Amino acid sequence: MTTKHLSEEELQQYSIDKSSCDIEASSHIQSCASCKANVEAYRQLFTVIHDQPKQVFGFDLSNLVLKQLPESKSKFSVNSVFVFLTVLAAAFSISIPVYLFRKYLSALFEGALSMTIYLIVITAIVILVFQSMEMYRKYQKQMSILN
Amino acid sequence: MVEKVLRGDTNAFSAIIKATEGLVAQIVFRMIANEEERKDIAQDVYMKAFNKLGGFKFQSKLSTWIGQIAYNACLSYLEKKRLVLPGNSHREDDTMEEGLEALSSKTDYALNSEPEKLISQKELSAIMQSAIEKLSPVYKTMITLYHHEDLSYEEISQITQLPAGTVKSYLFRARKSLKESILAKYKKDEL
Repeated sequence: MTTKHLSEEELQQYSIDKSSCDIEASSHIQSCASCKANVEAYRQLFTVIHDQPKQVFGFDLSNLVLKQLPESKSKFSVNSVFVFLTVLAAAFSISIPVYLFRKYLSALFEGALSMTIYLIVITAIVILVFQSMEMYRKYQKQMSILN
Repeated sequence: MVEKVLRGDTNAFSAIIKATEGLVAQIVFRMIANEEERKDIAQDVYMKAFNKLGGFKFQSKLSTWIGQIAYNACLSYLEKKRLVLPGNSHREDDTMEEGLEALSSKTDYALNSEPEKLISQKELSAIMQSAIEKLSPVYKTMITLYHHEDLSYEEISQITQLPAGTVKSYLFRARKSLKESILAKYKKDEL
């Protein structure tokens, strides 16, 4: 057993979490009145702070803040309209060339082996499944952080 | 809840306020002495949180993120008032030694001495409250967040945006200073 007094840091550590200190330090505290008194002072301190009544605002904060917030936006905000128009434009820009060159496209697929088409479809499905799983995992992670 | 607010449901923000105002109150009460200022700062914290909610990256708890806004708002206020520097009240070493002796004799302790001679919990609580009030706002906040709100060093580090090592160091100094207050009281009682 060491006869050297524990440092202030060790005393604090022992008072917070006894199990994180080594056996030598623990046995010293058991036999040293000065270190024991220090630990006791720290423990009293932590207990008193922990048991102090919680501070609360003496006013309805939620009500005060809500009064200052802007009115709820309508469901179709400018952002939603913009997203809708972008998707519509993208759909048109894909479907128009497909419609115009449909003869060539059908000839292209007729020429391709059916095995290749299956391979492309399966690959696309696998990618979609993995992406969906990733999105779900990310969502769950965010929710667990919030909780 | 965050998504609801972002979609424009301001009422969902009320639930966020109710869930986090406890932590905000601990920070604001510890850092700001004036009651009227507390009211203004608390509202300001949530207005900022509402406006910045779109930038919340889900990398920490929402309460920690709002706590960070509260801490920064209080710090800005204190900086304006030039009140932020820590008032590190280290006492003389001899007071420490005598206090330790007094506590040591009592620590050997409740087993031998009469209970009424020991400082009552109520009295100790009052001493501590006054000692905590003497600490700098930053120390006060850290002590409260760690020992009252049971936040980890990492969470306090996120709120204060200080490295975890600095948080540990500040807490170490604050605890030491508070312990000295207890020992000084024991010494005083012994005399």
